Amino acid sequence: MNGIRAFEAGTILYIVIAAILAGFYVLNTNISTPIVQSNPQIAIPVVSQTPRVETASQISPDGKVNLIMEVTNNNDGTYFYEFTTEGTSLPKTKIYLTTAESKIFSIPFNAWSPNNKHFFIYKGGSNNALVFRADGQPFSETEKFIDLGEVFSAKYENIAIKEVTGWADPALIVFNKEDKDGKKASYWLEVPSKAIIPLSTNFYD
Amino acid sequence: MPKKSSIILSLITATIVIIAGNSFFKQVPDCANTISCKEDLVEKVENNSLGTFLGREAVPPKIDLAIGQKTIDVLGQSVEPGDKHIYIDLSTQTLHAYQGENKVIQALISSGKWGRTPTGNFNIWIKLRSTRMSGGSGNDYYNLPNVPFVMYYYRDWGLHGAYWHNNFGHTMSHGCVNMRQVDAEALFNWADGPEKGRKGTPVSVCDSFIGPDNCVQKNPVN
Repeated sequence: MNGIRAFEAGTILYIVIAAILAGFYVLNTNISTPIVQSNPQIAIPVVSQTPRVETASQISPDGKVNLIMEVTNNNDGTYFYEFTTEGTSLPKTKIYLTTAESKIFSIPFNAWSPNNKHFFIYKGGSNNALVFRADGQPFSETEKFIDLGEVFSAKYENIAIKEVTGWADPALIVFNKEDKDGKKASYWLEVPSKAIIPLSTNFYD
Repeated sequence: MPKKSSIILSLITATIVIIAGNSFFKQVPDCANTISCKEDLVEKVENNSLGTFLGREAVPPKIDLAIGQKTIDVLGQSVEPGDKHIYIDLSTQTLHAYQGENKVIQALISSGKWGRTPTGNFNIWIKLRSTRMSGGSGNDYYNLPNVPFVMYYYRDWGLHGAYWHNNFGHTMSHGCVNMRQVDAEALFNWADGPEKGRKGTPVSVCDSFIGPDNCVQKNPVN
């Protein structure tokens, strides 16, 4: 009896080991590697014919409106940014920003909200964004734009935004954070309420 | 030392696990849009309807079929004749369209997040200026009229414009290949559907695309 039990135990052990090894093989050969995300498409300023003025632009997804950025080096250590919106469904508006940092602002590929009512620009890279109304109006008397980084850090201290990617719908900006230990999560910023919505769905790839 | 019978049983078990496991992983759902794919995949213009995506309202573009299809003119340039081929690079979320040896369109796309975008080699089997797509359930439910510039290439997996989001370059679909409307229109006007026994423009969906002769596909469906 003991011999039979020993045989059965041994056989079962081998079968279990074989099943685990085969399972590992199946997982290794079938689970695809994570999608490597391409760098965000940023409209890189191109030197125009006029010296010291650089321009970049981004059309809306429906092709109806355009956002144009002109950067002028004031030669006094400051840079003057002029953002112009143009389009058939939009009055031509201009937004002006002055900064002491070169190339701090850029226009992302996904700048325009799907309904062309808002756009965002990158500030200091793809990990922060300023959101504007496309008609040039401020969000409130004291708020010309929404600084996503400020809104997020006011609610989540010591958590850094990794990337602002685009619009999930006409009022929701998608962004991702990554902790120092590599833990990732995705959020929406609702415009204009400035609500931060943590997501169970991951929008990082 | 393991007995011969134990080894045989172990080998049989391993074989069964491998076959069953591979079969499980290679399963492809019947369709991308789980509700609308059960209907006829036909042209539909519903200018007075509203859409739903991620539990929120989506306003579709007004579509006027009386405005004819534009002539083939990609990026304002005349295109050298040659065989057409569309490649989707899932790793970089980019579409590359070639005519002969010339790349005529390159655009960021959004492939499957909530459903898989199958890799493989296909041909556009129908072009629709506009249709309705619906599927999912619960928070994931979507119902979108007037989806513009649709080119189905495998069952109801297709290339099409997406008006409800602007998050291209990142996965965002239920399996189809989303494009900005401007890019989808250019592609729609350039690509061919089937005609007089000739197949539509080939579409290769690649895990990664290195060049026209180097489309890496790990588990293609065909």
